[in-house]
This record gives sequence, C-alpha cells and structure tokens, in this order.
Amino acid sequence: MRYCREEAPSDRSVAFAGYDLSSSGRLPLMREDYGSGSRIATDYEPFDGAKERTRLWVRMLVQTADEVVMDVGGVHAPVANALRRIMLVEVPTMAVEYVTVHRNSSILHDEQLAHRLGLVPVLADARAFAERPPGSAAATARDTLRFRLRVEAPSETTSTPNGGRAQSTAVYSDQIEWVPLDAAPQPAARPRLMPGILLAKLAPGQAIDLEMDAVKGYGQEHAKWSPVATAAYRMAPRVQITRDIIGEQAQRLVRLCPMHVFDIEDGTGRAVVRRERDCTRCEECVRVVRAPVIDTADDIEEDEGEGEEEAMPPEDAADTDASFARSIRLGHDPEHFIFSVESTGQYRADVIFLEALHILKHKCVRLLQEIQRRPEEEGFG
Amino acid sequence: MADDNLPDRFEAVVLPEGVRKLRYEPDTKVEHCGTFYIEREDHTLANLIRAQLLRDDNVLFAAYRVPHPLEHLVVLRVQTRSARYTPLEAFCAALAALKNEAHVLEDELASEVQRWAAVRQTATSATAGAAVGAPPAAPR
Ligand code: SF4
Repeated sequence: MRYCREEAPSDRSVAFAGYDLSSSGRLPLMREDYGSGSRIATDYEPFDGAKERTRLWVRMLVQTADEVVMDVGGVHAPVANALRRIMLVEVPTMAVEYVTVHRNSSILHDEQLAHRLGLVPVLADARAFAERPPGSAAATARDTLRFRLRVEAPSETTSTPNGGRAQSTAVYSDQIEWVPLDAAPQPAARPRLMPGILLAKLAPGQAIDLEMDAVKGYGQEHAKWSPVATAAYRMAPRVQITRDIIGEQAQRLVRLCPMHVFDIEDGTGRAVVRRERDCTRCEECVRVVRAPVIDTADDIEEDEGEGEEEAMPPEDAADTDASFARSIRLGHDPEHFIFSVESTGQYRADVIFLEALHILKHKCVRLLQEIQRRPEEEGFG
Repeated sequence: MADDNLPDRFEAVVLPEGVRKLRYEPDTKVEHCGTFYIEREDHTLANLIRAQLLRDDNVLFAAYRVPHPLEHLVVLRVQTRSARYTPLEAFCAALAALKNEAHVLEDELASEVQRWAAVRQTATSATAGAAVGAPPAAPR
C-alpha cells in the first residue's frame, strides 16, 4: 500500500509559513470543468456568481498571526461544521514522527521524550512537502525535515557562579537545530521548531543526543498534526427588544445582563441593544425569577415545605419586576456564524481557514471527476 | 504483539490500491433511487452532501450512514422525485453547488485578507502600528 494521500491538494509554490494569494491554486468553476456537451452539466442551474456573492460573505474582525475571529454569513450549519472539522483534522502540517535516540541519560524515557518532541509545532509550510512513505524508505528533502538536539549538562565538578552547588539544566526547543538533508539549496528561512518550549531538565552530567525527522501528516492520524489549537464557531446571537423598556426598568435591565449587551438611549431613557454580538444567550434577561407566592388564604397547602412557586405573569401583562421575558426576544441567526480559529504556529490562522475551504472544494471536485471519468462504466448507471 | 490488530493510522487517509473512491449502485427495487459508496470520507463530507441534497426540491430522500467506525466509508442513499432527474444528477448538482460555495467563500476571505493588509499598511505608515488589531470598517 502506498502511503500517500491520493488527493494531494496543491501544486502551489512554496511559501515558508507565509501566505501568498497568487498561489492559492484556484480551480475553474463548475461550468468550465464540464464541457457543455456533458450530460451532467446541461442539467445544472447555471451558476450565478453574482447571486452567490451577495448571499455569502466573510468579514474578519480580529486578525493576528495566530488568531482570527471572523463572521461567515449565508452558509448553512453543515458547511460551517464541515469547515471546522476540516480545520481540525484535514489541514496538513509537519510534525516530528521519527526520533533516533543516540544518547539519553535524562530522567525522561526515550518514548516520553519522543512524544514531547512530536507535539512541538514545526514551523514549516507542509503544503510544500510530499508525504513520506512509511517504514524503511529513505528520507529526502522533499518529504522530511531533519533536526538534531545535542545537549549536555555540565558535570557536578564544574563550579557554578553561585557557590558550588550544581544546578539542573533546562532543555528548550530553541536548542534543536535543523540538519539539511541533501545538497538542496538552503531556504532563506531556516526551518525550526516553535521556540521557547521546555523539553526536559537535565541533572549535572546528563546528556541528550538525538535526531528527529518531521514529516507531513494530518490531524486524522494524530493530533500533533492538527494546525489549530481552537477551531470553533457559534451562531450569531440576535437580541430584540419588542416592547419599550424605560426608566427604572431599563436601568435594571442594563445591570442584569452580565455581558453588557444593553444600554440606555440618551434622552429617551429607553433600553436599547448595543452589543448584540457579546450576548452569550445566558437568558438571564428573560429569566423568570421565582417570586414568593403571596398567601391570601390561610389554608394554603404547605407544598412539602416549599413556600414559593414559579410566578409567570399573565399573557398580556406588562413586565413585572421579575422578568423581561415578554419584552425581549432572544434568538440566533442560523446563517451567520462567528468562527474563531487559533493557530498552533505553523500557519497564519486565516491561512488555515482558506486552506480548509480549498480542501473542501477539492473533495467535491474529486468526486465530480470520479463521475466524469467513467460515467458510462458499470456502476454508474 | 498486543497491537497486532491495530489498524494503521494512515488507513483513514489513504485510498487502498484498487479501491474506487466513489461507487454508485442504482436500487433494483425502488425507482429513481440509488446508493453512493464514498471511500475514505467521513461525516465531514457526508453530512454536507446530505444537507445539500435535501435542499433540492427534486430530491425525495437523502440520508447517509457510516457502516462501521473502523471502515472509512460512508454510504449515501438518494431518491429523487422523478425519472427525469436521477440520483446521480442530484448528487452532481449538490457537489457542484458546494464547490461553488467554497469557491466564493475563498474569494471573499481572500479579499478580506487583502483589505486587512491595506488597513495595516495605512496604520503603520500613519501611526507606526498603533491601530493594528482594530477591526477595519465593515464593508457592508
Ligand atoms: S441572554 Fe440576555 S442577559 Fe444573557 S448575555 Fe444575552 S442579552 Fe445579556
């Protein structure tokens, strides 16, 4: 069996942990993929790019190197979910997979150390690499990044500045060095592992000497290949005030909401929705507070010692002190998703999202091509 | 060895030699109905296609299942309303629609990235990066 994902998603140029719009490898649209003579193509509703473009929209609200928050509108929940799942486990990255331990006298077992190394993000663009066949196949610069870690703690006899007592030595991922595999031209930026990660601590005299190969993989195989720390979405909340809330009540509402969604309009003193996005739908604002039942009859039953019950205001009553349930409508927009994506360092966060879209597109194209390739064959009646 | 029957990790990803990515079998008993077998795919794509098919007015039935958690295969059954529109055509239409959607979203995001880059540039040239991180004005 060949260890190679048959749907290698790109033929793009190499951009080292970077981002190049021109290399996003766009595919022609459906209409161009299939000649008009195709039986399948003729039955499609013509793709209306302009219409789709008004329906679908993306707005980025936070963009840093390792985090994006963006609004994606016009898509349905399955699309949002597919994108989330692809970001988690189907965007390839490089990660340490093979570790050759030459020497390890540290307290960490070889396996444990290897596992730790596997989880350190490798700062390289996996899209520029091919998959490495498993087992004995020799590593090449096309599919492998080789690194070496060699540290030795000074022995006990070495005098230390602070009065003789030998200290433990911390080993950080910064100490890992890249080893060029063959005579390939060296890239401008040297591949490296995410710096600043503590790998082990050495007692005086202990040493670690090992070599590791980072290869391309997918989160589906092991979480160390997942490019994201978080890839999550939520539906955009909708908060509506359906009946005016003014004065004292408005002020109470403003205080009630833990996310400070409401504000008071200057002049009118009316409560308005100011920060709708911040709403967590905790429902505090529409919670019906259990008000003590006013006992008028002496012979009222002592409900197992419970002296109160839920007091729901009558349908047409104005809000009581207890609740704004009749003046506020809470909901969400089922076609507006707020994504937040945090990168683990291999890619810029927005590149991960873009890559997920690209992979999704390729999945569809792959199946369409499969049908187009042999529509007449048996099994495709 | 204890892990003798442990499936290879890459099984979820790699299409074995000689296995078709996609198979379609028309149903022999029910009219304009058929089953798709998609190899090396999971809920990510299957649920997406199913939902897209159900948005199609000419599709009467669409559902999928994963026969076994260790077999990386999804089975999708589709029935359309008339013989003029076969399940295969519905399937293709759904895929095409999804592909276009991803394509448009990709474009939208790319232009959004460019918009941010422009905002950054003006911010850095004006106030040496003071405004970086602030969201740019909404386009709509
Ligand atoms: S549900 Fe109500 S109280 Fe809770 S965050 Fe939203 S607006 Fe505020």
